[in-house]
Amino acid sequence: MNRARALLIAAMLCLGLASATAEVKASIAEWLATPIAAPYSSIGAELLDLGARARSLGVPERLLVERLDEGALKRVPPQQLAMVIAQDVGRFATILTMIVPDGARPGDHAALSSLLRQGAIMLRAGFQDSELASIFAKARSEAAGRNKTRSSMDIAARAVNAAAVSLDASIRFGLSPASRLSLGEALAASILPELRFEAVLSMLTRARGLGLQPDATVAILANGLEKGASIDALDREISRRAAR
Amino acid sequence: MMGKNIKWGRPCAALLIALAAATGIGAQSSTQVSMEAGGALLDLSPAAASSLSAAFEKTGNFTAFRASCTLQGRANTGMYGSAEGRGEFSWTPGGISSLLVVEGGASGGDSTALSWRGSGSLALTLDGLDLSADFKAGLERRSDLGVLSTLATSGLGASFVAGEFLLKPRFDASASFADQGTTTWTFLPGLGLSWYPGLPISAAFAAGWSRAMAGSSATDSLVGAASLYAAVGPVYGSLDGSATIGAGGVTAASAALGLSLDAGRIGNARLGIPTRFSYVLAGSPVMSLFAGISLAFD
Repeated sequence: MNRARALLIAAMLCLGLASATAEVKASIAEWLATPIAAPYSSIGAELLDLGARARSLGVPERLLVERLDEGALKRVPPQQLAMVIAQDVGRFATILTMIVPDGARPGDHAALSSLLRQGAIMLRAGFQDSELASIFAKARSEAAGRNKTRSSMDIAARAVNAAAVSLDASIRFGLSPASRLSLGEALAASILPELRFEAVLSMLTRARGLGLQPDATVAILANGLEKGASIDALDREISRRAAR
Repeated sequence: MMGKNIKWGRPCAALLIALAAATGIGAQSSTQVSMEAGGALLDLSPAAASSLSAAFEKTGNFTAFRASCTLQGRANTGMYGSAEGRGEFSWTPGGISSLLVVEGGASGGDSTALSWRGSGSLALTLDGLDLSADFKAGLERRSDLGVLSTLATSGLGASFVAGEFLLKPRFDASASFADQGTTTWTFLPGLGLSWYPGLPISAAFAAGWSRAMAGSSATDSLVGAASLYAAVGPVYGSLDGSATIGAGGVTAASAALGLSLDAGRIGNARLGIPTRFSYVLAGSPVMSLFAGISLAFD
């Protein structure tokens, strides 16, 4: 399963958004008219302002409504929810500039919303803006370096997947922040198809079993991936290093 | 014993640092030092063991130089120690990569004669995204408890990606020339397999048929090895096994179960608590249980 999607689903399940019956309103104005929004009437004007700001930045308002639903289900106090939504507007806008640095508006709104959600999860999970931007830049350089015609959405999907796998590896293997970033950048810049990104989790496990430390293994993997190594070449390199 | 090893580690690290200063290859470099100490809890004779290893690496765009050395010591009824060093130079100008390895080592103890070995090998690999091929050749001069011999090795292999698996058919041939005059040829066709499912679990398997010929006699055997690795939270587990089966049954076998707890960081060192249970059958069976503490310095 797509790693970013798996993370997203897990996050949504944790946050109580998996209810099949819940219908997400299209705008904050519509949301404020629902019963679940009643406790938040005191911040209605503030939320409407944030919605207007999101629209002006090109961020789908529905993403904010999802977060409002989530906050209301968790009974987050109104002022705290307003603060979170304001932060989210900033995060979504940041991700949007990474997806479309030239400011063009992608036509596929569903795909854009999905990428914005996943990107925002990466930022909330601990990635710095500059780190995620660096991974996006590597994904763009991979497409340019291989003369591949890829849409900005495809490039963004590659970057988000690379970030998600490196985040997963970081949590599972206790990687340093530098190793986490290095792995994310290397995956984005690699020749590996996105479906094979997750193989690095198995490689880290095997390398650990062979006595190599996770951060040292990431250095080996990142060095190889940046130079165009295949899964085969990485496997060989780990075996060789472990044999010493 | 452990104290002695740590003292030995200083010249080991100093050698690597000198190599680092002497080589000006590339723009990246890294060093790593690790040590492990512990005691065997279940053995025919209780023992204390420690090891220290250090590695240095300098890489450029198309070149890499690596050096490492390991010192190990063990004390039970007597003292036993070993030292190994290895240097590698790799050159990857494009789709073909080459690797030159020079290594050597020695071991001995109070009740064991000195054994040593020195070797050099060259490997050429044609890399592809889903398919690669490699050729290896090497020469080794060694003394096993005073018996001198020369070993020539060669191997031809391929590997290709099949879904989550990496399949590695290969054919190896070697010739061992003992100074006393006996020559043994060994041929080993086999198949290796690695599994990378995209989860924190990995497995590998290799098996082959070996024919050793000395003079007019030939000995056939099946050789196989398998390993399984998994990470669950801070615990890493490994299960390794190997066996050699000849005409008269199992002639050699080994199995090892390892569990290691990642106990966090102390400064720039990673603290681990490794335990290993191993079984080795080579003549008479030997079981041992090891528990210790490891520190790996970034």
